[in-house]
Amino acid sequence: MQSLPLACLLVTLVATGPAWAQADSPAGCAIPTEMTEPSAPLQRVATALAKGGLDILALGSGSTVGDSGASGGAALAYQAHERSFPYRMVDALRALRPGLRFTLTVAGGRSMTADAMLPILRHELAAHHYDVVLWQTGTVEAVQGLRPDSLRSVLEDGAAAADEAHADLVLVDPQFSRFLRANADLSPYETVLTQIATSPPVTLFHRFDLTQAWVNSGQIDLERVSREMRDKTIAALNDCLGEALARYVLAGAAEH
Amino acid sequence: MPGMDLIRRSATRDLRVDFFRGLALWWIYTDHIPGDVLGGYSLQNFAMCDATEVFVLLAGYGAGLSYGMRLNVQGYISSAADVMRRAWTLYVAHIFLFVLFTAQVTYSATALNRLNYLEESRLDVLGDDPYRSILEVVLLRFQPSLLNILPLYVVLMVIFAATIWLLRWPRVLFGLSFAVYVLVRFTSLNLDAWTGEGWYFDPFAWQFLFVIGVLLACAPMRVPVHHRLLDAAAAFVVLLGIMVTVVIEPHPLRLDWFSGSAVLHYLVIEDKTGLYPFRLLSILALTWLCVRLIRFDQPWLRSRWAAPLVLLGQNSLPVFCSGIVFGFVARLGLEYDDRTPMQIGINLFGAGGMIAVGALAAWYRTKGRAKAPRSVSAPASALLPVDAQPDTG
Repeated sequence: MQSLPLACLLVTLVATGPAWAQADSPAGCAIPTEMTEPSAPLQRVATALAKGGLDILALGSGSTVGDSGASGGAALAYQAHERSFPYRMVDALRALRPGLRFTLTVAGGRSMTADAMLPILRHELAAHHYDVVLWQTGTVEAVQGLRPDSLRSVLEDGAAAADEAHADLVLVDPQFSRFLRANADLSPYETVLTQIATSPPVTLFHRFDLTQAWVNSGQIDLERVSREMRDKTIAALNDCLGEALARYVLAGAAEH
Repeated sequence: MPGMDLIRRSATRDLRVDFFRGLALWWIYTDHIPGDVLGGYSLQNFAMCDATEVFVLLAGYGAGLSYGMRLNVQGYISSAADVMRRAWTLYVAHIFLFVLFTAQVTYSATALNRLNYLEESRLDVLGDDPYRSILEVVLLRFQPSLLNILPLYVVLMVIFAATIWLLRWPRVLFGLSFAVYVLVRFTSLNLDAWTGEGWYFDPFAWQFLFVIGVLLACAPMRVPVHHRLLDAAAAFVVLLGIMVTVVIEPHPLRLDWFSGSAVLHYLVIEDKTGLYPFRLLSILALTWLCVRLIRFDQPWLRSRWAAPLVLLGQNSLPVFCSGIVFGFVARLGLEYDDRTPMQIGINLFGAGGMIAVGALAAWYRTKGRAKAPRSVSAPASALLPVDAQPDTG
């Protein structure tokens, strides 16, 4: 009974294969240049790269720490702590700038709100020096229907803390999913992220638009993938996001 | 049409309520199916409120009609007891729906290797801590997504039962309800949830919309002297809602002159949990315009075209519950293939399924009545109190 749909999906995947091969990243996803250009220069990143290395803090919920819900039983758990997009970003950075030193600290956790991450951010910034902070947030707030204005004040506090610690702050917005679009009202939270990112030390990496483009063009679509291909697709998504973020960070430094 | 007598349409029955309640149920179906193209044409795409506001307002209106109007005849205790019985029915329906939906989602997640179902539905905690989860479900403190409207409805009915005696003084009830709403807006007062920071639909905020519905039924206001002014104000609110929803939210920075303004600052950051004031204004404005534009006795409300939605609206509880279950099946269909034939298929499936459930519920209510003509005397309604309700569910 299940083999027919699977066969159809596999045929579709094979048929779309050549299109993937033409794309300009190793994982097979197109990364438009405009998506990897920050709205403002990443000055701290530029300074750090000029000195020979970059210390990165990645703060976020499930997709950042690589925990996409382990409770389906051990056989179903997909926990890729070392393969989530921040790690893949550092891999991509090392490939793009082989001579430089990159360090990464990942913090946060599944279903964690920005409010819960703010103390972690303060703690990390007090304990170490980071040149850039990636802060992936907004999804949990939207899913739980928390107040967008409190997200805004939390992010404002976080932006101030990053600024004081001389780190650039790159916000990463929710990942596109049809489920999220249908079941959560994302736009107020997106607007808050966009508004916070209009003040210079903060920029916004448009993960939503990028992943939506991949879904629309059929390049990476976690919600339309067969059972067998799912883990591979998650890996490809992390690769592509990592690559895009690496280019974003370097482009932000180059503008300086 | 044989099914026509399944619809209750007495001369005094306001079919507008049933019609819009049915429409809200249909929107709830299409809105919650990821990737359903019809989800792009529901109320939330054009207004600052969505089907939930319609549902809660009309639930209040229905409760007011069913229980508030009989207050003088039955007295507080009896009326409150009837409301509590209804709350109990809703509670049992919620628990049953939880079991059904959880079975459906968790089995699909494991069979199709789609762990995201668990996380998205917030059912992941069920695997993390199963024993505690069941307790929290029973306490209504664990609400997977989609399963948060019925708990709200239960609590609203309990609040209604506790405050039904205040219907003698509508202004006092309104004032108290408004005061609690204002308190929520300033303090984020909410019921405790096991997962997350509070209930997705804060009952202390949403009770205000429910009470407005109750009062519209039990203490109808006279048409104000300045009704033209009210028309204009309502139209302005609706137009502003369209502007924000269609133009500004998708492109927050497109209108530079506008995006920095206080209007954007305060309108776009709306929260659904605490019934953001502009959401409340939007549903009230829409209600006012509907009442002004659609007369009580419009013939089309009694036509066969309106009949399916009226039928859904008159049987909202079974229709709502089945819609959640059908919706997940539809989602699986779309994930298998989301091209046009499947899009048409899943929406016909949902419409057909929900109408069938509504018709079945209506048939159960009416069967046997032909033999024994409906008595209008008090004993009949005492035996079958649900019968007098707009929403027998």
